[in-house]
Amino acid sequence: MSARYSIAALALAVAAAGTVYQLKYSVREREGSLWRLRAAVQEEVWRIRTLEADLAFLTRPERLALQAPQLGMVPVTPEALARLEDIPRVDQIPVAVIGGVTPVSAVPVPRPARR
Amino acid sequence: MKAAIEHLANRQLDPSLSRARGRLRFVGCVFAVAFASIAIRLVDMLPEEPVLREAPAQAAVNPRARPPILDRNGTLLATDLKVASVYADPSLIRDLEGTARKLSQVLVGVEAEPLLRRLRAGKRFAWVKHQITPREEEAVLRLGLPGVAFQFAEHRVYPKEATASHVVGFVDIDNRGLGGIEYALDSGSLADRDRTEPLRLSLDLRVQHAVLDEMRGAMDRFQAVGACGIVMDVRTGELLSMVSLPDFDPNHVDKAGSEQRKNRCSGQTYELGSLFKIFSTAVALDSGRIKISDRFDATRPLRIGRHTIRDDHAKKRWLSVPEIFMYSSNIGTAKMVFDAGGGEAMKDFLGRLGLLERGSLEVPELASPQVPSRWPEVTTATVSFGHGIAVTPLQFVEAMATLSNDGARVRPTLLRVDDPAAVPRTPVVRPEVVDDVRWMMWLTVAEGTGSRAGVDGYLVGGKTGSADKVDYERGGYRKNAIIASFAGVFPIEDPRYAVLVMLDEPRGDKGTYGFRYGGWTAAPVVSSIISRAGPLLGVQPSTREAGEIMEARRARVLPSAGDKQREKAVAANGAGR
Repeated sequence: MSARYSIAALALAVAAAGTVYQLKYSVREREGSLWRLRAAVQEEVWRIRTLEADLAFLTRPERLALQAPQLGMVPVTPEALARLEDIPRVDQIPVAVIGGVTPVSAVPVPRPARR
Repeated sequence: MKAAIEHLANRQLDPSLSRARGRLRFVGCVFAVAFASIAIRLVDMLPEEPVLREAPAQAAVNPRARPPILDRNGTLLATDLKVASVYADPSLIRDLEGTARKLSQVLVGVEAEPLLRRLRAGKRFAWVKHQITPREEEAVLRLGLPGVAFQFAEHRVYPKEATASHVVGFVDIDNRGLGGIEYALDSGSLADRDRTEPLRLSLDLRVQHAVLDEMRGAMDRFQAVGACGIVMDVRTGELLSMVSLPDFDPNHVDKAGSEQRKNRCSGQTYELGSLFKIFSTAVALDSGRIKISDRFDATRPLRIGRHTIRDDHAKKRWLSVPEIFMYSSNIGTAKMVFDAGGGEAMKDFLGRLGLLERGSLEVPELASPQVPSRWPEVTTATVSFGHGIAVTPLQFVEAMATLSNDGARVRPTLLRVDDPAAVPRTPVVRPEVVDDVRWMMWLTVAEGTGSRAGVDGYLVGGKTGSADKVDYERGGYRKNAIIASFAGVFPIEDPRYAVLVMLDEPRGDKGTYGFRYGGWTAAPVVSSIISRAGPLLGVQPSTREAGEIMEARRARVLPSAGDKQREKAVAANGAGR
């Protein structure tokens, strides 16, 4: 009995050692790839930062102001602001039709002409 | 083999052997229990989550790394970039002359001769060029020279250049903050925060640019030696803009002189003149001894000992409190403050507004105000119209914001406030007083000295200021040199933002008929700033009703001033001091 057990235990020990070796090896490998990935991420972060800085530089207000006339941009005026309440709701605009007043939702809404 | 094992197993055991076996089993059990307990303990000691070894790229916290600085909307104001510097190891280079020549061809600003001398110095390390551009880096790589290599280091970059220079600050060659927010990140109030998190400022770059643009225009037009412009949210204390001119490019701070680096908004004090009448009027009303309808004799100059106090544009009649304010009468203001309790009352009130002590802000450029040590009558009188006391423009804006914000004091900040409800508010002035002062500020813009600060779409309130400049070399005041300013609040019916523009030594031009007073030079700048910044900040235009309420109050409080008389007054008041 004890011999059979001994052999089984030996086999188990060898298998365990093998597994541990495998595990350690793969952990080391994974650590290596983790390190490489982190370095790559860091590199990418620097690249993104450079691009962000470039974008921020190209969108300097004074540069945009110079290009505004060509782009047809004008400064916002207080009159350009409106509250949502100031805009009449479409379904509350009365529309005169033959035979009385009907809410606009009952008639097809014409598309605004393109200017 | 198998037979032998079976034979052993079936063998009849003698008693001594079976005893020994029993002992062995006992010892085996003891060991098994011991190892099992160690195994359990080991499992028990395992951390809940496996701890991975940190990769070196993140393990080493770079002490030079600085967080990006953003404006309130996330626009980048300052960031670290990894920038290469080229160096050479001369012992690895065979052809020193050729290397020097080739490098000088691809690197801007590097000349072959001095570089060759450095390479021949006999050391094993020589800098070729610091902080090269990516394009130069590629060109050097293409040369493929032996013994030439790169060193990478973080380098602070300010993509918006001079736009927020005094707020953001600058760093030295080792990335250490030396001014503004950059300094605060290292040694000041922000030193304890997480250095990897981006820092969000209260600044709005769009507003900052509008202010800067308008102020630069005014500086050029009126040939001022300096200027300061501030826009502050009166409810949260957030500074949306702080412009000090002349300014500098933080990317090339070595090219900036001391005048350019000076922060005139928080690091310099000025006698702000008539702007202080906002506070004097508030003192008078806050004392409870003076009503808004009270009248004071401004027919003759006021004599205190050997001093005489005059009005710049004397009305030479009795003036009511709102008239004193809108026509900026020195005589009336001084008399009002005397009746309200004099120096003690004034000192107490200015103290409550924080004007007698050093203000607070994240940047290190903070000046202490110059305040009188004693308050005799003549000092009280001069302080009432803003002379004999010098404060920073920032402190002034803070105090004015208090008077616009229902009398609750809010500290100015350069950091974005995410929860306006959590901002500490200290009530220091009665709301009724604030209401009166606000209306008088509206009146000043509607028909007083500040009429050029009017804006289409918003009701604006404000006060002009023109103070003679102190002559620090000879004592007294300088002739022909003034500090012209205008402090405004909009929309005045429900104040959101305070705006201050201060011009240092402006000169009048044809457009101002030669006048350089605040009402002529600074007020139009405030008007332009408000009309540009208001819509950007989403401030709804003032309603017609709000204007009617203000008008109705005028009819009630100023019944004596008929329309004709008022027209005359406006015309006579053209100087706008």
